[in-house]
Amino acid sequence: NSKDNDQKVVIMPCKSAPSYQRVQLWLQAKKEYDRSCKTT
Amino acid sequence: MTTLTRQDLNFGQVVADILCEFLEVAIHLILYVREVYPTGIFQKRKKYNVPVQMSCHPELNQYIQDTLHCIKPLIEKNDAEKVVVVIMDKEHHPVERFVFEISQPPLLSVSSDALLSHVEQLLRAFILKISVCDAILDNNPPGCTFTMLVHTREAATRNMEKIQVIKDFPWIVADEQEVQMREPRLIPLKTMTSDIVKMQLYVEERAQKMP
Repeated sequence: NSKDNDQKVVIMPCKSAPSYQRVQLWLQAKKEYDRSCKTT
Repeated sequence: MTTLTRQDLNFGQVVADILCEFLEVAIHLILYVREVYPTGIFQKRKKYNVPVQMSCHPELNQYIQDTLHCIKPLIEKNDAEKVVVVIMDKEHHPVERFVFEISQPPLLSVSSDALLSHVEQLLRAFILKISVCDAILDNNPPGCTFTMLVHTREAATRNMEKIQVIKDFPWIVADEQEVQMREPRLIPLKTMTSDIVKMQLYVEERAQKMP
């Protein structure tokens, strides 16, 4: 039976999600940009 | 009342669309509630008629979308047994796993739009459970990241390959390290049974989270 030969597997994306630090840096840059937009 | 089989037009697609839309909201909310990312990147939105928190970080949003884009064909063909959001510590060991166990009936009875409205109500209950789950979970150590796992079958992964190439988003078989957790505490969050899908959500939490 081909279904029986079809093994169960657990898969995951090869790529990693962005790190906390990377997202934190983006957030800081966004806040600074938003601030500069308000002052000009 | 009309009865459709899985082979009928759009049945699998409709279920996959509904589930992937739900999973997207659920993943964003889990990342917010479990503080995997800074709270500043999340914005309040309304989904399923309840407030939720969704990320506005482009790279993270793309990552979640690409993941779901690859999972969708598996759900469509009823080949995704479990979809898991794994939160890992700095050493890449799982500290929490949010397990969505999915099963679809071979037959679908479509009565009216009330069916979809009923499913929406059931999914709303999941969202509400996720939004308060931090009350029953221990804090995670700092510096956590996350990944997604899909429990499927070998043949189904071969069918995924074309999509992986198109999206430039390859998948690999997970290591034991990502799959196994020592002495997990099992916390059932929600179960739903509808005409189109059965789903169970539970959390597996590592007993000793802090290093």
